[in-house]
Amino acid sequence: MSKFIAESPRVVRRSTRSRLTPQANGQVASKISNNGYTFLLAIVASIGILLLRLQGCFSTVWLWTEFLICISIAISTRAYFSIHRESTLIASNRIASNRSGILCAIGIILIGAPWGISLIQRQFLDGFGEATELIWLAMLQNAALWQAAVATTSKQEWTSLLLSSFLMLFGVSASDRSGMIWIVVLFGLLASWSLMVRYWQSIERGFVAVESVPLVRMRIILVAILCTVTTSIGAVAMLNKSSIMLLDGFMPTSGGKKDADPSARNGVGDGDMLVAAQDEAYTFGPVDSDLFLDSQVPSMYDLASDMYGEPKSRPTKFMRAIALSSDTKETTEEGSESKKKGREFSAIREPVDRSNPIKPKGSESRAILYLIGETPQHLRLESYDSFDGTEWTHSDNLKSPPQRALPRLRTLSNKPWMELEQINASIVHRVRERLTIKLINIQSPRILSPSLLTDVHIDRIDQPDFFGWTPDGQPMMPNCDSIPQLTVVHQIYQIPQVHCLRDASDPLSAIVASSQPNDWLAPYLTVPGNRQSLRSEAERLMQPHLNKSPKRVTDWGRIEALVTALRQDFEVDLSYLPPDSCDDVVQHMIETRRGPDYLVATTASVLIRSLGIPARLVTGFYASPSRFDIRSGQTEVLREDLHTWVEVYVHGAWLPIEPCSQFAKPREFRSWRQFAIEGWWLLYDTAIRNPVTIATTVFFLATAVYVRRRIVDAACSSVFLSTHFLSIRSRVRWSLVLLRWRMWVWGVQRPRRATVRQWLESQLVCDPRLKPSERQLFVDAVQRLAYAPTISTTEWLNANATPLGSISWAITQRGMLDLFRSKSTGHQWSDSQSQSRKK
Amino acid sequence: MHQKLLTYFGQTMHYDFCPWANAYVYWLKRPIGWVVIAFLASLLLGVSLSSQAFLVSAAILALGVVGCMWPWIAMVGIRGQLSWSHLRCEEGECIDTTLELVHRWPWPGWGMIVEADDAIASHVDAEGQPICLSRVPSFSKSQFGWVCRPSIRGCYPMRDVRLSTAFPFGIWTSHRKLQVANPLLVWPKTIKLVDVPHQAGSTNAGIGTTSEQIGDEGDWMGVRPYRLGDSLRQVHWAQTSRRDSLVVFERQSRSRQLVSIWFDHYAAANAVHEQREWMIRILASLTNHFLSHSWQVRVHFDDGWTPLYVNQASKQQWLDKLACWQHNPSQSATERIPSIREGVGCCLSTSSRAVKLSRSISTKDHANLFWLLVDKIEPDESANLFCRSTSAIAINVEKDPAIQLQRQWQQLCQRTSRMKAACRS
Repeated sequence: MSKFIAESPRVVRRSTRSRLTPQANGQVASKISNNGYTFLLAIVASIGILLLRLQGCFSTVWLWTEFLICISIAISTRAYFSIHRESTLIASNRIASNRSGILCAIGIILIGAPWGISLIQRQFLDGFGEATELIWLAMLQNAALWQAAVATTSKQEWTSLLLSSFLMLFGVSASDRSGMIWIVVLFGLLASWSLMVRYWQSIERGFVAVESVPLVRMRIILVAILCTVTTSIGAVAMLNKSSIMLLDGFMPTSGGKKDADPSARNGVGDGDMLVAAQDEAYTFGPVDSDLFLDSQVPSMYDLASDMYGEPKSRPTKFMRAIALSSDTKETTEEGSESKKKGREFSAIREPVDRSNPIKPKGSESRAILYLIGETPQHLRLESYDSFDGTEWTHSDNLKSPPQRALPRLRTLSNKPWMELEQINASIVHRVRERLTIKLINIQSPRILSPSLLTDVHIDRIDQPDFFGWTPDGQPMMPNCDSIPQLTVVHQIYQIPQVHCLRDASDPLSAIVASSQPNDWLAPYLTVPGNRQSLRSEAERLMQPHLNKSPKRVTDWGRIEALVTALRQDFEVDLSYLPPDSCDDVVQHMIETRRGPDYLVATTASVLIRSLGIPARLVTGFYASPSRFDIRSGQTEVLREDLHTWVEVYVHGAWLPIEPCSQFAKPREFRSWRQFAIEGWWLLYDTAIRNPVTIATTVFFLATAVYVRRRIVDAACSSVFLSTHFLSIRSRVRWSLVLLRWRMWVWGVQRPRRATVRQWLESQLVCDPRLKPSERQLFVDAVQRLAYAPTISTTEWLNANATPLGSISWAITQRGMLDLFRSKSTGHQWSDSQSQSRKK
Repeated sequence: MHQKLLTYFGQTMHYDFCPWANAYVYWLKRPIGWVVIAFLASLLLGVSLSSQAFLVSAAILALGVVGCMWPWIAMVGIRGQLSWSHLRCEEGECIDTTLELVHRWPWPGWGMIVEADDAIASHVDAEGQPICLSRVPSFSKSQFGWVCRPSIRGCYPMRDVRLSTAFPFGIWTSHRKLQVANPLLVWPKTIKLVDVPHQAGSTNAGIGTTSEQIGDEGDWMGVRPYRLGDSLRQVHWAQTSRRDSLVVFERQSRSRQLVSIWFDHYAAANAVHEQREWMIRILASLTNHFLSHSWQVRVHFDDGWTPLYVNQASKQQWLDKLACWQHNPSQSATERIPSIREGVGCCLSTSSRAVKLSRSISTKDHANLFWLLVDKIEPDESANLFCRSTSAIAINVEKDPAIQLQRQWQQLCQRTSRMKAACRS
């Protein structure tokens, strides 16, 4: 019997309580149940109602004044009532009656205040005032506040809670303010917490002691697994910034997705059944194209000029010429702009004033396009093959790759999809991903797409001849000048899986050799100037970044090293342009290592070509994850996202690479095994290359592990030093917490059967620096902190503050823990005590 | 004045205007009812007023689902057994209770309550407060212990012992039945008495409990010629063959006194609970007391006379019977006190009933009859008169009945002793 009594601190606590209220103990204990949460909930509900009232009020000042007065009265009432509550309950009838009279009067004033203030307000505002229903709501709000402030019984608290809940529900239904949602969330959290506290309070007086034996010693493992999984999921979610996509399909949508429900009211819809997207640019509904016949949307050329600046006019070169005969007909007509093969991309441009962002004409939206799908995403629009040192152009004699075929119709999910290309399966991941693009402010027949596009779908277009290829290999719609504005293009693409290219033993790792026999690739290997000097320049740049031993360096490894060099050593600066006299921008970039992204991409492209690997310059848009809008699930792509990068031809596919450090690298699929292998080789190479650093790190880590307990001791001492300015109560509490923690680190834990006093006494008796009286004082302090009433404990602690401070410091000092080294110390108590108990 | 107004207001607000509807709306008194109502209301508002209310309904639904599923899941992974340190105890005696729980979930269980009879599921220091478990560790076999003090006799548990939890929100309670290793028999409380009454008019009683009288028990006292009616077992065959006529032994007489206790079932059935319990306690005290003085005790209880013997097994059996006894509300009022010619008679009843019973008994058949009358209210005049008679003890259960019994019993014994002395003189 004594066993359980000794172990149940609650029992001790109960006995001290019962001493406080001799006669009215039961009455007070049953009546005092107000835990403050009800009052807090009433205040939150009041703020919600205030938000609602602010929407339609004539005078914000009046409203705020009224609100603040009512809240102040309620808080004062609660404070007064909290102080006198206990005495009211046990006071004589006359005193109790007087106090309840005062409280009733306050309640009437509080509840009637909105009505009274409204009457006064109407006098001052020429008869204008708040709507009657809002005044009633305010009165109800004050009733809830008053009820919560003076509640003595559980029923009164419940009444207040009900009123607050009603107010909150009504408020959220009647208000369209976004702030109301947060108020509701706060109210919900507080209400849940309040319920938990209420339940816990109802049972905590009956807690009994427990002795438990673990069935399975797996708790630490489980916790570790749980932490790892949670951290991984959290990390993945944070990295992608698309955790909201996990909920995709959770609620019915009004269309545009597989889980569309025709009866869905609002949902998170973005699809078919919405109205035509005339007002809202980012609705993904079908639109009537005739709306945009007079569109003034910019072409890609205009965008490049806006973004990078106009190409500089080159000085006209005059050469000797022979006059034509008189019968030669002069042709002045030019072909349609959109029918042109493509214009040149100049690497020498005028500076641009970026202080005022240009807003596209014809639309309220600044977006060039909207995207639904994975980000970051490089959306290719045009690629260039020929470079003369300053300008990128399309070659006249550019040939198509041999494997390219006409689009082929196939049906997926009852929709007509055009299969454009089959990509070599060895360097792409087999799982295909989907992307949806809505074109807003761009005029081009070309289809913006990721590099490894395989299928494309535009609603209701089921004719393969609607799609084709540009000479530079970009999918397009050949029968129109430009794809109509607000067209939604669905695409299926693959992502690279280039692990095999990094493995020197894999036959696919040889890129140079595989690209030599292809004649059509010849333009993509041409470099301006001396190839050898460029190659040596590339080798010099990549050398510091070749982590692997030379035998294991593959062609793709060189590309990656070069890209790393460019990303690390080159600064992207749109305003830093080459001089007019510059004839070789690549050389200029290598020297200055600074310039716009198109020059970095140009440099990367030329240097890669110098290694014998086909590469081309690509212009398009970079869909940044930072522009992802959680609510709509879409990523906005703006004019500023115009970007230039490089594509490398590898075994039948153009793989994107990103040489600019400001932009994320294109996505790449890695299996867990590949991650592990790469990690291992990275570790290995790092270890081989930095033996001294690794050895030093290992040495310090091992030392830290060896002296971990002393480190913890020192840390604890430091923590205790920081508590110097706290109250003596906090210092004693901290010293106990730190002591227990340090004991735990030392492997000495308090036995389950031992009370704090018994345990402390058995442990502190080993310390020769503490006198028995000091030891007893500290144990008494701990005991009082745990069980005694707050007021008397504080007085006692303040009276003994000086000795307790020094004792706490002595206990927390590092040398003390030498006494606890032996694990058996902790068990001595349990063995001897349990034996004595048995006796 | 305002106090009256407040009282009036309170009474008006608490007046049940439609009691017939209580059966249908009782569920609203429970938190889950509120959650359901709030959910429906927010749903209605969402459909009719603003879609923002759907957010509230989703939150309430989540609250409800978590509040219902958590307790249910917590209870699925837990098993338990309740046991006591002893199989039997007396009313008011402390006994260690142990609850062993096997928890098989990888997360701890919080906020559990042991639901059982108040007598066994509350701590001795906090009676009325149910036993609660703050935390049951995960993957563990835990032992919770408390000291209970059952104040009412019985065979515990009288109803299912269950472990329940409504954690975290307290809106729905889930239960799990617990095994009981062995029932706990709580005997009625016995009061220590002193002295025994003397039998007025009996020779045996006059000279005490001697064994030197001729009787049927004990050692041989001598031999005598056979008389009609003697048992063949008493025949002394050696002397018979020597004298050629039947000779029988003479033995000592019975050394123990006989007491016959008659328990008035009708009075017990019509008494209030506390009164009835005290009748049982007094009965147990009397039997214990007489047995401790080695009296031969027989009790008219339930179904006829039950003999009690001076050994632990008989005593235990008797107290077990008392512990488990349940009164029969349809007890007949025609039951009369049977004839008690031998030894001392004790009648356990109430005052009002005793007055009626006393009219139907004869002095011849009930020479040494004592009355023990247990009342809750003050008896009327005739009963009061009866209670003051020399052979009656009247105990009011509201005024420390144990002390009353001890004092009055002692007085009764002294009275009978004086009477005996008077008879002898």
